Amino acid sequence: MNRIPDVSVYDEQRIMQIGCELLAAMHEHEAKQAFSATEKLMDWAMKDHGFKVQLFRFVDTLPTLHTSSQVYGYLADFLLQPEVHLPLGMATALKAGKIFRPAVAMTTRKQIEHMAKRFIAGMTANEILPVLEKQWEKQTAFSIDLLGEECLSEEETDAYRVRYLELVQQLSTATKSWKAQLILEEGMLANVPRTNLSLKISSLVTKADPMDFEGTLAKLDQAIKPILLQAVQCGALINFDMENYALKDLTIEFFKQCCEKYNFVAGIALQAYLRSAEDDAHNLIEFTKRTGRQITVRLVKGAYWDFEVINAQQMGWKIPVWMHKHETDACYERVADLLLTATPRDLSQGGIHLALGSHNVRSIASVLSTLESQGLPKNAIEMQMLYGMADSIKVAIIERGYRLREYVPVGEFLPGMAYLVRRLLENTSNESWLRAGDHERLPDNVLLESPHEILDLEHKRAKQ
Amino acid sequence: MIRPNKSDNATIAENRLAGSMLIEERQNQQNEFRNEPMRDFSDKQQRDSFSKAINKSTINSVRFIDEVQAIKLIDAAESSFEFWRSIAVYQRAAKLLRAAEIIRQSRDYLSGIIIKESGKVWREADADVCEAIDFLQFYARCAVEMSLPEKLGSYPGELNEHWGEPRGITVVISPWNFPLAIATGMVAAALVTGNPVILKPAEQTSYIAKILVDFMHQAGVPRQVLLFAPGVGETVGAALVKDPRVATIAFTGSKEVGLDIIRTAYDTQSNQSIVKRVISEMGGKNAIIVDDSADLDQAVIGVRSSAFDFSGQKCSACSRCIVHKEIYDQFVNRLVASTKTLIVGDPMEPGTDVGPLIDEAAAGKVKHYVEVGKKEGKLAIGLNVPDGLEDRVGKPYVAPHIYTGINQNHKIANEEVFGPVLAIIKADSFEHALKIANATNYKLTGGVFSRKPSNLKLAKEKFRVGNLYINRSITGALVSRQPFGGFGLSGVGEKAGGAYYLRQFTVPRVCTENTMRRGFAPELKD
Repeated sequence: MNRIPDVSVYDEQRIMQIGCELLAAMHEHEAKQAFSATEKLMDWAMKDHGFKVQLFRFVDTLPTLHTSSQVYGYLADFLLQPEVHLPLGMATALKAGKIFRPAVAMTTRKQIEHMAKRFIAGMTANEILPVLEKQWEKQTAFSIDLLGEECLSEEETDAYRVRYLELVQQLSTATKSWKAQLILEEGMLANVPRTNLSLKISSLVTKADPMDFEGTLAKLDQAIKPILLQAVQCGALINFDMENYALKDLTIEFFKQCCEKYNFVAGIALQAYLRSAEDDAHNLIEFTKRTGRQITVRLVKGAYWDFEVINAQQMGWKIPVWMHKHETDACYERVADLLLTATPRDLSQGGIHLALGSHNVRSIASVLSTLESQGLPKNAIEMQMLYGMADSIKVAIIERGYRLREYVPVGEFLPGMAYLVRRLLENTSNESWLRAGDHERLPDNVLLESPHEILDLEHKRAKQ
Repeated sequence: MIRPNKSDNATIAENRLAGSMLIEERQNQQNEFRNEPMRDFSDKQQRDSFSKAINKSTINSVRFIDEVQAIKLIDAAESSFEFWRSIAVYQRAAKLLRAAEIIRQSRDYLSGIIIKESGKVWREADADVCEAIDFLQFYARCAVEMSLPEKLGSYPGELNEHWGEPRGITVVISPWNFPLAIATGMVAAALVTGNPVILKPAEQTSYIAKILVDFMHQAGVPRQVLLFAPGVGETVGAALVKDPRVATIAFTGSKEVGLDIIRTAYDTQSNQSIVKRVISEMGGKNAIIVDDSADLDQAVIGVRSSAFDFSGQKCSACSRCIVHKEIYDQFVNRLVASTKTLIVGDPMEPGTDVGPLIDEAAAGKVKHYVEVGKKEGKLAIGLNVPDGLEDRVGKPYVAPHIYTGINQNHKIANEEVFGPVLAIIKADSFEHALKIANATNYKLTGGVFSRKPSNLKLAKEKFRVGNLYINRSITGALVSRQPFGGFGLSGVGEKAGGAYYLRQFTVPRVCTENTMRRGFAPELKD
């Protein structure tokens, strides 16, 4: 079901104005940036689909390869497939004589590790703390995402929980000595915790199966208890990430249960690419009003679009996500506005603190315009963006005086690859805003086009 | 007692309508075959109504017949053959479609019966019912499509046509492990091609088979055309196989029984008017190869579910896992640790991963191999059955067992166990793994977890099995998408759920007409 769009509620003039200002600030910053080797590689990946598929598959396999002859063998096997058109230098390197092979393997591994480092801050708390502090100095807060392989056994879930608990503790201890940053710490009603961690419920238990809804809730509750108790003690914010659609209802239900049971600073993500996004938002708003609880909602577009479409088609189920990018974009703005109306005006009432998880300047400009029209201060919301991406937007946001938080993955090389491939896909996708904004330099009015107007046009055309 | 809303007697007009709709749908090429969607258990509404329905399901006992009664059923089938073969194919197809609709309307209720009668867990029972619906709808389409005579060659003055017609009385002997789906598939294929059918279901799951027969009758298949022969295999089954009037026997089950049927059926008697045909789907000793570049998250789950879902009681189940030495320790440790998390329990509970075995005889056989495995290799893990569970459920259990240190000469790597017992074999290389995988006379399913393009290519060429799965579990074949069946000692016949399956129930005929009269042929244009 597609909503009948109401174009009139959006102040396009103001959105355009904010958007153009942001873009101008971004362009000024971009002019100072150099084009890195990683970007060159990604640029090629965008041009040749065959190369992109095999390169990403190789990246995904790399952590399991130990010797340099293995690395060379796999690299050649992937990239010399008939459908692949290689960049010239790479083709020469791959076909080089035997004595050069270890060097090719080594260079490749280095380059991919380098790429991974761009998106993954480090492997341990000790490694990431200096990175986080440097970002903090640059007026950027963090939310840590602890990467892990799938937890298939009790040993693996236990180990994950131990690492998680350590992180909560180490981070909240270390951040205490950081210098004050008013822009990052002063919320509209209360102080915002410095320590902020994200959590995926599927990492807590060996089987999160919505079929066994009650049973899974009980197991999750047991698993999360020490983490939330620790979070309460440290005053850290714990954000429940959203995963695939099948876990959505379970995640929301579990989140609500935790909010009632533990007095932690609570956050949850919502995905605007879901057709159910508005219902999910209403569900959470109703919950905060009923319980008087204040929560943060990170509104994202969603990172599993391909999976959801493929899975639903294979199973013969209704596709749970919007099929077109502009439908997701329009839904994002609708849900953001909805959540903004639930912003609590004082500490005694329940409500929602909106966190915008998007790199799309149009989406951001639209919400900022609503924020103004509702008379809300800048610190009523915060912006969240991925570590290692979209640097120019981040600078523009900070310059405008908004709180910026980076989503920072921490973890080892192996589980990191799945994350890296997701980010690479995002950076090279045809529908990606980053690609449109960064590489193709489309005119401002195209980049800031209203998704509601596209929907409206479609409706009118359908009626004729 | 189940009574669908549809009226018992289909009118000819109704049949015609359904038939023409079917042809129309077929002609519309965009409308490719769609499998019946399984329940989405993440949806509260579907979950709750499923749970409610299965709790209401009850099983009744089915009275077994004896050999004398079985022979009387053949008399009845004999008398109805002429009538049934003379009906237009789209009418027969329409009855299949109506049966599919009747099943669809009591889907969850039927799942409940399967859970209680055969011990399947929720998803497995649901998949069984979906597959039954798929077989009915798919074979209905295929039958209509292949009913039009095929024109051979294009020579003026000569018209060559090829078509098939029903072979005659068909005996279907169905297994207990897919008690609704496989029975439905074999029955539907024989019926839609114009053959009268006698269904002899596995003793253990006679009730769900009885419901299937009732539904087919309600859908308009005459009682004299589809006959029900519940009873003991050694007596009733044997009598049916032996009768000289039977033209086709469609069997799915163990290799021992299958080969026995083949022997008996091909021993042609003097009063026989057709050489019998046996379509026999038998067992497997299926292997999954885990290569050094496998995605271990994926491989652990794929091997675990292929080996232990429905307690390994699927002919497609994985009973050998061949692991590349480079990742052997890492993989085996994770597989064992993750197997520990499986919940052995009551199949009525949604949290249960592994349910009971079908009966005491099956449990006895599996327990025997549990001991064999201990002698031949090292027990890496053997899960316990929770106290009191067997009494509560009323069925015997053997929980998952994994053995390491197995080589291809061991019994446990060659004989079909049909239970949750997995043998792990170490391989020096991918080529070595393929060699081990192929070293069995069964050729049913196989799997490969690898990310190396050249190894995947090699597996497609060299891994000789009927159904090969790459980077996924090796069970759960879907009608039309993954036509299912093996060769070697795994079976004879075309793949079930595939387009060629129906031909086996027909005799091929060709007619050649000389259309030239006095030097003039209608096909020649000037």
